[in-house]
Amino acid sequence: MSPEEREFEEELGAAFRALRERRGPCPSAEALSAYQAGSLEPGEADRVRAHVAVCGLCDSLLVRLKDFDAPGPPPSPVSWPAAERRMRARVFAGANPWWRRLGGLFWRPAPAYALAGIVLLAAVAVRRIADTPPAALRQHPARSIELQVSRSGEPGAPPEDFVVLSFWIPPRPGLRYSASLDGAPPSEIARDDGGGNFHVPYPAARAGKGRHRLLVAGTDRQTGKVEQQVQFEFEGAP
Amino acid sequence: MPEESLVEKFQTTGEMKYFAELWRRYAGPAYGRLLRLLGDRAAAEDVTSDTFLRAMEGLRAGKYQRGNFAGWLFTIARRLGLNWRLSAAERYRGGGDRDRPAPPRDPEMRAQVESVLNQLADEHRIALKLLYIERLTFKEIAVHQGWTMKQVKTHVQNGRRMFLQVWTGRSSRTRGAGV
Repeated sequence: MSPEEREFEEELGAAFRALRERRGPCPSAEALSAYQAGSLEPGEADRVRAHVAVCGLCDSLLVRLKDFDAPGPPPSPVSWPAAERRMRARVFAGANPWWRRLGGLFWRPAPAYALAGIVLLAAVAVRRIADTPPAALRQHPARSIELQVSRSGEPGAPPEDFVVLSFWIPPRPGLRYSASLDGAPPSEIARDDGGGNFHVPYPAARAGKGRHRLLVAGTDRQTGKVEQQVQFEFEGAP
Repeated sequence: MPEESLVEKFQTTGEMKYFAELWRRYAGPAYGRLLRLLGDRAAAEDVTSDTFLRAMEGLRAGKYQRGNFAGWLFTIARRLGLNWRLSAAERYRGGGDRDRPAPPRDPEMRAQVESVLNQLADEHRIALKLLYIERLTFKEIAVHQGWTMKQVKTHVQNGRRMFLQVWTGRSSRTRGAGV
C-alpha cells in the first residue's frame, strides 16, 4: 500500500465503514426503475436516494440505466450471429416444446411422424451411451442428452436445419460455461433457465449420422479455472 | 407488416412466424441495451432470451396494451436486467462482512464524505464506493463494471486524488469560515 493510499485509508476509512453500515439492503428492481423515471412517491424516493448515495452497486446501476433507452451501436457483426442463434434456439425451443408440437402430428402426418421417429431414436440411443460416462468424469456423470431437429421451413424455425442438444448438468453458481463438439474450439453457452438446463443449437451437418462427443466445461468467472466438466456421447441425427 | 399487425396476428393465430418477425426486428436492440446494462455477454444472452419468453407469455395472456410494442418489450428487458444485476450484487455481498466494525464516528464527517463523493465524476465516485464501501477487490470491480484492471486502477487513483482535492478545499473553507 502506497503512503498516499495509507493516508487516505487512515483519514477516511472509518467514515466509509460508517457509510457502509448505514447502507441497508438494495431496493427492488421495480423501485430503482421507478426512482430513475421519477415516478416514486416522495417518501420512498427519499429512501432510495439515501441508499444510492452510499451504495456503489446501485449507483453504478443507475448510471448505466440512464443510457438504457438510447439507441446504441448495432451488435458486433463478429459475435452477433452466433449469439443470435443461441438465443433464438432457446426462445423458439421454449415456445414450441415437443409436447406442444405433438398436437400437429395428427394433421401433418408424413414429415411429422418421420421427425418424431428420428428424435425418439436419437434420444434412446443417446441415453444408452450416456449412462456409462468415461471414468475421469464420473464425479459429474452425464444423465442424458436429447436431440431436437429443427428443419428450415417450420414455423419459427431458423433458416437452415439445426439440431438442438438439450441437457442438464448440476448447476454451480459463478461459472461460465462453454461447449466443444467433437474437439472443435469451445464456444460459450448460456443456461436456459438460470438452473442447469441448456439448449445448444448446432447446424444439422455438424451433428449428423455417427457418434459425437460434446464436452461441457464450467469455468470460474473470477479465476478462469475449469471447475466442472461433463462429457456426453451421443448418436447424431440421420 | 407493421408491428401492431404482427402482434395481433400472433395473438389471434398463435403462429410463430409472426413472433419470429418481432424477434428479427427487436432481438438486436434488446441485446445491445442489456449488454450495456449488464456488461456481460452470457448474461445479456440469458436475459434477452428471458425477455422474449416473457413477452411471448404476456402476448398470449393478453397483458400487452396496444400502442408501443418496443417500449413494452424494453420495459420487460430493463426489469429483468435490473433483477439480474441486483442478484449479482447480493452474490458479491454473500461472503459475510469483510469489515472490522465501524468505530463510532462524527456523523457530520460521514455526511461530508457522502457529499464529497457526490461531487465526483461517475467513474471516480463508483470506483471509490465499490472499493471502500462495498469492499470489492480490484478484480471484482473489473468484473462488475466490465472495466479492465488498468481502468479500475486509474479510476481508483484519480478518484482518490479528486476526492482529496475537494475534501481539502472543503476543510480550508470550513477553517476559513471559523476564523
